[in-house]
Amino acid sequence: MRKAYGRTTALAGVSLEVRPGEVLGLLGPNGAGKSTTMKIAAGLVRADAGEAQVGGAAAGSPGARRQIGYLGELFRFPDWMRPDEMLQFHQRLAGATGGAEERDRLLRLVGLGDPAVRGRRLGTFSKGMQQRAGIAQALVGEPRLVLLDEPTSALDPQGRVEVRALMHHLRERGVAVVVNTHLLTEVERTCDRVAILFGARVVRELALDGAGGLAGASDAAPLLVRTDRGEHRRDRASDDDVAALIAQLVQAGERVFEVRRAVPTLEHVYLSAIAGAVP
Amino acid sequence: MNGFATILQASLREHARKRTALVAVVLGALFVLLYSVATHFIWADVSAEIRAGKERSPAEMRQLVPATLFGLAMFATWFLSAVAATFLAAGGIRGEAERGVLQHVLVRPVARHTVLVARLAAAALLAVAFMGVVLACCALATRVVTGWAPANLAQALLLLALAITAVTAVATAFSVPLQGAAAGIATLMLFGTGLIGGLLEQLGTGIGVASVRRSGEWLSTALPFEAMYQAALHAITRGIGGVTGVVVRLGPFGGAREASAGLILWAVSWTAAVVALAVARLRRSDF
Repeated sequence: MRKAYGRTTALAGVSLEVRPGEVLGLLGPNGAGKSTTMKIAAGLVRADAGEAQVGGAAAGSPGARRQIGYLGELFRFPDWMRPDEMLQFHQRLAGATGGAEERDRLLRLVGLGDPAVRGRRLGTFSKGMQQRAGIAQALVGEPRLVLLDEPTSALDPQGRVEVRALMHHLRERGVAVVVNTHLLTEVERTCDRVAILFGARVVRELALDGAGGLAGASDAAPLLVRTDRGEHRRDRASDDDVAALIAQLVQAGERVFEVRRAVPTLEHVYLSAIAGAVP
Repeated sequence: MNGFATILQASLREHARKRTALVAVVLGALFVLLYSVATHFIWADVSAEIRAGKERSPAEMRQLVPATLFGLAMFATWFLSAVAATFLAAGGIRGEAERGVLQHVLVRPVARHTVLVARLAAAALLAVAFMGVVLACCALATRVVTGWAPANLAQALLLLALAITAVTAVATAFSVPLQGAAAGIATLMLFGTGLIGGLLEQLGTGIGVASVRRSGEWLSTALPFEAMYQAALHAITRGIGGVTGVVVRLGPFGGAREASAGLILWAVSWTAAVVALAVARLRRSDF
């Protein structure tokens, strides 16, 4: 997809795919094109070239919009609505048939199920509570694709843990999720795959292992052995080589303190991808 | 409930929650009260002069004074309703998008034109309701105080309703590319241009210069909300003849002009075209 706003290029040839049951993280500095990518998928912005599809329907078409849930980066709901009313409004627009049961389930899911909270108007909510309500809104009608633009920016640590759990829940239900965030730790803990955008392009795509690491990275990472004489590095050592290496060092009279692999973190990959993409 | 009804209902409730309706009710009531009091005192003076035999044409005065007063009330109500419609509609699209409200509606499987027309309908309904109630109350007050009643109030109300809908359509159309304040200013400038058209027409008629009068007529027709106001003025003064009729029909900011079926059709088509242009622009807009 390509997109320009006047003379500013927002996307200069971005191609991405997210599959059912997959959580895709979009990373990149401000202005990299992450929000534009999401807005094209949501049908809010039209690509100048290329096309976006949601479940086989052209993005922006009624067929595509029936399948998506969206939470924008900057959003505001009518101050006078209560969370239940806001969800009912979106249920009607989405043609969702879940009724009160769905509203109740969604509000509990995002931690707004307390009757005292549900009785308040959205205008009295804190930013974090509004973000929770926004996430509930994005899940109305059981969408197949959920687009979340900075969904945890205003949440406290407890809220972030809950959103993390929510994303796992969506993944288990086969929902495709695209999340745009600057929080690398959130990406490491929730995403299956990451696309790093810089300069309106995808400069790196990589898979995560679901445990906070890069998939396949640990086996290929150099082995580091710290002894009383310093640190030894073995670039191509397998796990089977570790015992022999230690024995060799001990035989040479060294005292071994620590053996570890220099596994690259997402932060390292991100920074090197950005640095490598700088013209 | 379909998308149109859902957005219309939510928009009406939002205007109510923002106390727009309350402000309109309170200030409308105040306007009617002031009009009634003023009419009472003016009519008391005129009646005293008629009783004292100071008026040469008492029968004409009994029409001229209340018709002029009601004509002024109608102009004021039309002006206030148009301003209210502008304020209600000018922030409807781009303004709401800038606040981050609109995007979550637009991603739902509801056509963009449905969103636009529903928001326009909500603003127009409130502005027309304000105009209808205030003008009906003014007519009632005029009738009670002076005994005079407009010739065809229902027709005048319908024509003004069309005029207000046209202004609301303009404000909504401007709200697609422009933020609230800019859209409001643009709409009021266009509204003011219509008033100038009416003024030119009056001036041309008054000084007997056909080219000035025709310029005014052309301007009023090009901006048919002004032509509809003039038609409404004609509807309320239809039964008045002679010099009094001429004076009353000059009206404030636009003399009375009979609404032909063609003129009404033109106003409806013009409004529909403005909405169609707004929809076309909205379909191509990024949010």
